[in-house]
Amino acid sequence: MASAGSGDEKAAAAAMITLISSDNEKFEVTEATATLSQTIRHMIEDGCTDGGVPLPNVTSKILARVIEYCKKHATAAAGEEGSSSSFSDAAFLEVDRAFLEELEEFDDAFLEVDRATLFDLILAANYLDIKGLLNLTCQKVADSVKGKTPEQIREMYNIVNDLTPEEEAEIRRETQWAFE
Amino acid sequence: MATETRPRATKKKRKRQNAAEPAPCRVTLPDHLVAEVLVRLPARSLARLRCACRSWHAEISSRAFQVRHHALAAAKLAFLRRAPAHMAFLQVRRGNRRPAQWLTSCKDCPGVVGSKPCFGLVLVRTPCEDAGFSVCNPTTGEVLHLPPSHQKRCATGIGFHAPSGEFKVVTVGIDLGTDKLHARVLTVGDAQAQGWRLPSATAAASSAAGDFSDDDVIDTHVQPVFADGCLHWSFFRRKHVDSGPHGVLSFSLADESFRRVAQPAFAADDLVPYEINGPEQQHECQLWLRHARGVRSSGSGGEEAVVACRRSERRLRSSTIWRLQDYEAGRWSLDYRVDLDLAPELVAERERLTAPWLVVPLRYLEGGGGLQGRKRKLLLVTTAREAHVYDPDSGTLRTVASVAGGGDGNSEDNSLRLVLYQESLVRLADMKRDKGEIEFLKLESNFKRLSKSFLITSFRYFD
Repeated sequence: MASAGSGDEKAAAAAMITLISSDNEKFEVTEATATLSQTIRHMIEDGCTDGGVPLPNVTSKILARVIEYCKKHATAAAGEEGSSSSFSDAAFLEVDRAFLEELEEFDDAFLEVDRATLFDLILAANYLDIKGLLNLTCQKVADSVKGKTPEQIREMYNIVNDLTPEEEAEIRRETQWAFE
Repeated sequence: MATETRPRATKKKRKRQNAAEPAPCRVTLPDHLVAEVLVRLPARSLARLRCACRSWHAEISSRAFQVRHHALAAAKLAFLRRAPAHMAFLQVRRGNRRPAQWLTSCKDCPGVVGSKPCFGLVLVRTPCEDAGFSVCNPTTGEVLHLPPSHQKRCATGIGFHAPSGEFKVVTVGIDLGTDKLHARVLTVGDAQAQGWRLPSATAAASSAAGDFSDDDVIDTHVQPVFADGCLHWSFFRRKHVDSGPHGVLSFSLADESFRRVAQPAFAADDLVPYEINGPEQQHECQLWLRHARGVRSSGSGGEEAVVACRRSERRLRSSTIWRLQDYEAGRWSLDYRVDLDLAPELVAERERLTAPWLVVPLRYLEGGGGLQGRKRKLLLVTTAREAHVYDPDSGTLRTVASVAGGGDGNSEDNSLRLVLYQESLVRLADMKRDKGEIEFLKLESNFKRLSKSFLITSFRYFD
């Protein structure tokens, strides 16, 4: 996974950026791939990417996954990256179906990870400011939470119920419709 | 994801692992990323999760979170079912004569004010009860009955003042005797329960809004629009409907002042006076309404703007949408054009926009899977109970919803029954779950592939 994209003739011609993970692994990526991250985009604009971009908050394992995502989405869509589901108007738009389905398949496979990795991806997407990835990963967690009861969620995520029984009863009374 | 871990929970975790069940998560997310996850959940899940712990309860109940959640929620089309007609006393007023009471069939009561919910809340009017209004959230099924306003023959509207997090309901009319605006404001869910009161800027109101004549009428047929932090109504001159000037009356929710804005300078050939080509007075009136589109709000991604729309009736070639750029100067800019000058084989498509009594642009559609260089599409609804997406690149119209038993044609019901709805968790103090007064029917759709036909489920509210 290191030196990603180095074999690609087209990529070789483009400007390359070196990303350095917290455990000092180097990843070479095209500028188009790297700039899906707003954080890196700003660094490039400020001209401080010579000698590589150190990313002390991201491990090589997670960075490799993030780059995998960025490469796919950078080629798929310049400008508006991310699947159509990030738009509240998605229902009314007819989009290029083949293109979207391929991207969705990629995203689904990409999200087949354990919860710890998923959380690490969220942290990385937040740190690198990659909107599409943040949306995708947060939506994945949200989907796993969707049908659960408060008790199940507390167990899943180690949440301590610090509400008094009276407070909880009051909230339940207000939100009774959601439990029906 | 846990916001806090205490020894008690650790013990519990160990026990679970021994039992070979999925281990609770050890990685935690900072609070702002927990909120990122929560904001993507449907309203029903969030309502349940309010009792997970104190910090989640506080987050989910905050107005800022609710506003963001509403903006991210998928846009759905909902169908407002017409309430069955019933007998009631209605006040009828003709000219300057004293109002008379008539026992008549009260139609479309209760009805919804406005063509778009305000952060998921709708204002419901019950004309046959003494100026009865209520505010309802169709997502939660909760209703708040407002105190009676005792204001007759008024235009009404609901708006949201974001900085204070307050919802305000306003009634406004033009006094026949004094030709002055009279208005009352109600801060909804107001803790001090002030009830209906004069607008705080009432002294300045008459000068800023200018004097009206007894000829001016606030057009209650054109629904009010909430955008740019202001409520807008359309008004016209009764006797000079063809010559104007007519325009927009705006009410700022921030300082509670009124302003008058002239309508945009429509191109001369757009401004066709209606043709008197029949003995039926009613027909004339309808024709006029077809011309005077008044104000609409149109926006996407949370950005709302006031627009005025005009349909060129005589040649039926185009519809234009104008954006109000400057309230003070009354400056409008041409924002969008729906070109109806279609190829002959597309005449049937064109009729979908030219035949209905009223066509309303609901929202610009942006985004759509990375197809660059495309112009934004427009979602329109008509009184023929259809919704269409106009694509300016191909000049085509795609029907996305069509509800059987269309209102047009039989002229029995010329209300807009299709509304754009996004889920909302907004809850006002003292809101109660109540029997549904208004029936919202959810239009079933597959959000990835929207088919032309919808199933209509008979939920009283959204689930």
